Order: sequence, then C-alpha cells, then structure tokens
Amino acid sequence: MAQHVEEHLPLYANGSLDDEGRRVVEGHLQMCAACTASLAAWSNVADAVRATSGSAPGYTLLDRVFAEVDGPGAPAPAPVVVPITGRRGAPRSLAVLGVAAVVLVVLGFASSLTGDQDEPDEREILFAAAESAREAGTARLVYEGSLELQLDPEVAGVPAGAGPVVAELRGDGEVVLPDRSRTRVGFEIVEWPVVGEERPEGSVTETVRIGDTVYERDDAARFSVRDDEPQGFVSSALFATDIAALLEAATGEISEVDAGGNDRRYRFPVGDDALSGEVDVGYDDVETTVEVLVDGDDERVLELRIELEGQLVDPVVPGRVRVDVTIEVTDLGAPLTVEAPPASQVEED
Amino acid sequence: MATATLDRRHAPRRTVADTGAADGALLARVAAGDRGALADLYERHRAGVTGFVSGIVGGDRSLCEEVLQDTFVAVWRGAGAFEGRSAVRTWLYGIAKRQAYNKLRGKRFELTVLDDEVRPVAAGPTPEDAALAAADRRYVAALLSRLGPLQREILTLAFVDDLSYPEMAEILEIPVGTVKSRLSNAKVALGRLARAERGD
Repeated sequence: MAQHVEEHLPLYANGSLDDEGRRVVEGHLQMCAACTASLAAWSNVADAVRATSGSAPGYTLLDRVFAEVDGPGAPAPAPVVVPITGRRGAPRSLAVLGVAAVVLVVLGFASSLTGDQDEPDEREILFAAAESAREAGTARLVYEGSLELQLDPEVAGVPAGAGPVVAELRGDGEVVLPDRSRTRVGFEIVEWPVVGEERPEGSVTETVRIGDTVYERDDAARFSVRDDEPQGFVSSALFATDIAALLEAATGEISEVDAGGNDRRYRFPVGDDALSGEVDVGYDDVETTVEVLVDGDDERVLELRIELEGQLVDPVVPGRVRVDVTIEVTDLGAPLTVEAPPASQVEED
Repeated sequence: MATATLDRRHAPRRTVADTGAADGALLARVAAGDRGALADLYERHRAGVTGFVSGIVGGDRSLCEEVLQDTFVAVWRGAGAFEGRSAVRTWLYGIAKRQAYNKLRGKRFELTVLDDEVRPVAAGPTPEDAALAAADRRYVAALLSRLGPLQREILTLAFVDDLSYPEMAEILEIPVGTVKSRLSNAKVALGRLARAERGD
C-alpha cells in the first residue's frame, strides 16, 4: 500500500492525480508518517523546480526564428542548398526548401542512374534527407522526373523509373510511400558530428549503414566505403537512458537503482528467461562503458566500451560464459532493436 | 496525522483533447506558411518548453534560448510532415529534447556520485525526505543544479508542465516504470545532497 501511494505522490503534488486517486492518497496520509514526509519533500522540490524554471523568452526569440528561416537578407523563405556530388560527373545541388515542410527536390533527372553521368547517388539523397530528418524529426523526399532510385533491396516498393515519386523519410528510418503504408528504409544513421566539435579537414563527419555496407562522408561531402567490418555501432547520441531501454528490451523489467550525473546503475530481474545481474553505465568525454555483472557476485560477463564517436569497441566477455548481445541504434539515440539470448541459452566455455 | 499541505492547489486541467485540437489546427496553419499561427503556437507552449529545456540544460538561459530557437525553426520547417500520430505537444517536446541534447553533447556533464542501494519504503520518514522537507526552498533550488540533465528534465516535466506519468513517458520515450523510478531517484539524490550539505 505504502509503495503504491508513494509512487503517486509526485502526481498528487503536481495536481494531475484524479479525484479518486487524491482521496486514496489523502486517506493514506492520515496514517502514514513516511508518505507524509515524502509529500512534504515533494512539495518543497516542486516549488524549487518551479522557481528555477525560468521565465520564457519573449517574442524577440520568434523574430530570430523567422530570421533564421528566411536566411540572411532574404525577404522570403529561401532554399538552403546542400552540395552533393554526382556519381561520376560534375557536382550537383540538392535544394532543401524550408517552406511548410522540409522537402528535398531532385530536379531534372531525365534518365536512370545506371546510364548517365551527373546523376546523384542514392546515398547522397539519403544523407541529405536524413540530415533534414534529423533537424525536423521527419522529412519528405520528392523525386521529380524519371529517376531510378536504386536503393537497398530492403527498401521494398520504391518505384523505379516512373516519376514523380514522393516518399517520406522519417527520422526513425521509416519511409512512407504514397501507395503503401510504410516500409523500413535500409539505412542507418550511425554517427553525426558533435555540435561544436572541431574536426580536422577532410575527417569523416557522418557514417551511414545501408544494408551491410557502411558509408562514410567527410567534410567535403566525399563518400567512401568503410573497409573493415565494424563490430557494432551505436549513435553518438547514446545516453544512459538508451542503455536502460536497450537492456529493458533484452531482459524485461529493469529498474534504475542509481541515477546521479553521468553514471547509472540498473538492476533487472534474475530468471531463466533473462540476463541477470546489474549493469553499470557510465560515460564521460571519451567513452561510455557498460558492464553486466552476474547477480550475487562481481564476475563480469560483458563489458562494452562505446567511444564518443559512437563506435562500439572491444567487447570483452571475460569468465566462463559467452554472451552475444546485438545493439542496433538507427536514429539519434533511439534504440530500435536489441537481441540478447535468454540466460538458459548462454553457453559456458 | 495531518496531511501535508501544498502551496499550490490543484487547478482544473485543460483536457488533452481540447489542447490537442487547438494545437493541431495551429500546426496545420503553420504548415501552410502562416507565421501568425507559429506565433500562437509559440505563445501556447513557450512557458512549458522553456521550463523543459531549462531543466535539461541546467538553467543556462543563453543555451536554453538557442535550443528554443532551433526548436521553433524545426517546427516551422517540419510542420507539414506532422501526421498526428502523437499529440502536437509531445512532438514539440520531442524536437526540443533532441535539440537540447544536441547542444549538450559538446559539453561536459557534472558527475554526482551516489550509492547503489534500492531504498524500500521506510516505516518512518527517510532521512532524505526529512532533510528535503526541512530545507529552505531556495536552498533546494540551488541543489537542483547539481543533478544530472536527465533528473532535471523529469522534475521539470512533473512540476513545471504538471504532466501525468504516461505523458512524461511519451515525451521522454521511456517506460512509465522508468519515469517513476527516475523521479523517485531524483528526490533521493536531492535529499542526499541536502543531508551532505548540512553534515548528516
């Protein structure tokens, strides 16, 4: 009872509890010193949070929004030109129009990618679209003309050659086609530049996985294919909450035991159908570390280091068990899939 | 035993349907290029989004305004692609959250070290609750800056935006159970800081 009421106290304090819930809480408070003290603490915390929430900026901020939308010196919304390079030919441009929606328009390509020069590489389109999707949460791709878009086979249903074809690419990697419900595009936003970070000229700024191939783009928008097969990738936006969500997906219920600063410790159930133990997540300027500990003792079964750039390095599986955990993050910090075997299937060396 | 009294009583809440319908209509006008509609949307949400973002960035007003600007630029550009699969407010807060963490990625976070025990519900008041309840509000406000961004974020959603657990869960894209535990842990963390400061 006390546990049940305790978890409702924040809602009681913020006024979002319904009448029945409030009656239950108030009845309980009459006989529970612990919950009464807890509510008094919540009340003080709530007041402190409200006092520090800050006043909202005025309409000058809105003026700055429109100034940014309009661009420097432009009276009307102006296209932002993202330079792209043709597969074999001269540089092309891809216009990103900031009117009503983020719309990418590929203009004037009268023939298929396979035949002519000067055609944009589909990877470049995806990069540009993903870039916009990253900003707005979603973007629309508009292909005009006869553009054969040779995407990964996973992008089932993208019509080839017949245009115009309009597809929506969402920030979570889904493509919505006009004649279909939706499908998942075979690309993965792996890595994006860290805001404010200075990088050497020509260094890789973005990495995208399409199917099994990993592409990199450098500051000069040059593409290359990564030769070495990566062990795994996570987004540079991976935060401890994502780790928790990943493990929750892999193991079932999970509770946050410790939540201070950059370090997190989580506990998840012990059972035949789940990994057992605790995971200790910490991260600093250079890496995120994840350790899964066997419940009841300190033996580590899995240690992951995730560099700030987003690459999962040196998975360590010490001791007597072998665990294969696949972590795939296909959007900025949004976990999509996690695969981990149940404890009953973990093999001992 | 007397029930604890809150300074702030429970005002009637706008229904989600009322808010959502008005927001949806405004966003449709934004998508059509209506700048006045964006101004109206900004007016409706600027206080809430400011509090939310301020919580994430730790009260850095300059950074907060940068995030707000980026957020409403993204709203202007992305309004046409909004499909209504979530509430406008959830969508808006999601954008603000992404923009805020984009900014924070280049910054060093503070580290607050806590022990790792799950605290069962105590028979009597916990020392942390007692310390928090007795602490001066301004002092508690100062302690908030020592929490991590995730804890400030959840406290802001709970007590500035007055959201329910499902609403917080949707915005933060975490399970409701995690919302509850994160809130609880934020309070425990503040209580421990309050105790440590007064030498308990």
